[in-house]
Amino acid sequence: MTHRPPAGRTLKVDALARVEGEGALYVETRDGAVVDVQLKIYEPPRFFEAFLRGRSYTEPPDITARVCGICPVAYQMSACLAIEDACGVTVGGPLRDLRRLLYCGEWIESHTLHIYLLHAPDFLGYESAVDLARDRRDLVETGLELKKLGNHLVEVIGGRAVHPVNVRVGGFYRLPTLRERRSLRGELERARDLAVATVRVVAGFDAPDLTHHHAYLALSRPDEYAVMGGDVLLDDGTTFPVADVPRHVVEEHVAHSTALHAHLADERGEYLVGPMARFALGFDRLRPVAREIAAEVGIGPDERNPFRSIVVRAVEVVHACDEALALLDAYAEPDAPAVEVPPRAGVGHGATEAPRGLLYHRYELADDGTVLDAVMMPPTAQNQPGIEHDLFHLVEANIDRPTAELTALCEQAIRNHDPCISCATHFLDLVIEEVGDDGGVVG
Amino acid sequence: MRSIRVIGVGNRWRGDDGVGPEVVERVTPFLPEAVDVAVLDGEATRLVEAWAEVPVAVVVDAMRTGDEPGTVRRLHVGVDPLPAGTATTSSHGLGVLDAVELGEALGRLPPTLVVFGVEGRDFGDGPGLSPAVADAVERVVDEVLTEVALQRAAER
Repeated sequence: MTHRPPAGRTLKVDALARVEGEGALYVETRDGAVVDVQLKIYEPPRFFEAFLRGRSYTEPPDITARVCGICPVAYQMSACLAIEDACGVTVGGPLRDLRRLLYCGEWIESHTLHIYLLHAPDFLGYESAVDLARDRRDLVETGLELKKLGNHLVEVIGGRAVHPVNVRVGGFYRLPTLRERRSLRGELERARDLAVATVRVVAGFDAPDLTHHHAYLALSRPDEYAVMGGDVLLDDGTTFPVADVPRHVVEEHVAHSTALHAHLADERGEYLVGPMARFALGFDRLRPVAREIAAEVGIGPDERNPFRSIVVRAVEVVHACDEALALLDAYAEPDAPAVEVPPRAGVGHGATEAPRGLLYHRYELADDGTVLDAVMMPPTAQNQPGIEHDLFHLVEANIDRPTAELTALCEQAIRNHDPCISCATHFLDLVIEEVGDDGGVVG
Repeated sequence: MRSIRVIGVGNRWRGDDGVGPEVVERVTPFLPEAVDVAVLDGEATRLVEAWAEVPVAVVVDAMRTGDEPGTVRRLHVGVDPLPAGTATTSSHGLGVLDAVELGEALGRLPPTLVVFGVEGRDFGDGPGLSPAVADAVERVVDEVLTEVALQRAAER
């Protein structure tokens, strides 16, 4: 039997599952063509930026860590870099390395959660991680073990796994002991093995066809796969300092979302941040073991199918494990857990690569360090127009498929970008309804 | 190893979502030696790890069911049926009830797991509980202490 789609239909998902936060998808088609795609985000806007005004310059790392339980380190690091920039201080050397080490833990745990519990069920045909766990306990156990190793790294360096408390402007409150570092080493070797195995597993997943041509944007540094600091790089080779982000990126309100939509100020318009962008722009600076496993499974910097992002994420986990091991091996005890950061009046910018992509912070401080203004640009807000674009082409190419199948495919495509809607502002619902030529609901 | 763990789930920066951590803070001084506490954000895998380590876990979380704000429900996992469509709140992809199902699928539920859900009203940004939820906190503290006493008596 062939399925004959109605002339026009509307795909709606009212409560998108397996994304961080709450949101909805609305897709409308007419006469076999897509006429509208809206990723709706309708949790109330977040007021963290307002909470920060009037606070001391030492507080944003702790307050912004509360923005997100999945990527608190990213918020802390972007906040620290921006505040230190405003105060004219650069934290380098062993303290910077320790920050990178902490960040590795966050990449491992966040990516692993997404790969195994949020995204893998889509590829393997399960409704949820619970259903997957019932049938493929081995797989979920591997994910949980790997994630726990990432959690533990964050716990040791960050003070605790949820909302780390050991981070401060200028560095840390306490340094890890030799014993702690030694215990991490063995764990990370195990984590790297599990991560390599993960790449092999997810590379075997069938990826639906889709090619996107978004501009890619990521931090770039000559010396490392950039996570903290460096310049902003676009895939056409354009590069600009982090302080110029506000000149190159425009954020605007759209009616269907409480998150701001970001796009490039020039004609290039929408762009993507996150693993696909980092991988394309920084491939040659991945740790060799990560490049080797990528080559083994046949994924490279020219990858443009967003359904392969799960493989890229897995390669980044290998990189993060190996980078963490290298950082531990090269560890030199800092002279003090933190450097002094005396306050001064000024504006500072900071950007780091959260697991989901570039997270930019800007602070304006008074001379006593009081925060006068704060701006945060989370990765999901930047990716929202690109996700809608992916959905537009996906629905167009698969318009003949039954509604339920198409809806599931759309949800999977949204999860390609691991949207953290809690950060962007906030919840996702998918609605798929069929609309007849007269505009009436037929399905 | 301590045998009972009280786990508060939630985020103090999201209004009534902070009720779990608030109850844990208030109950801690009254808990016997053999009981430890944890505060988690509700991410399912961390919950599964936290309760899989102990024979008895008592979890306190905010919920959003449409009940009167401040309503407290007790769920004894494995004894009471899991409520369908009753979402304990979480800003993340999987909530406490998902964690229960995940734990069950992986064989990682403690022998005794009791969940207290407190109906919230306001999950907006910022710290502070709404009045009905703040009023419920003392009741939940009593319930948790009673639960701990019962479980300790059962252990002996």
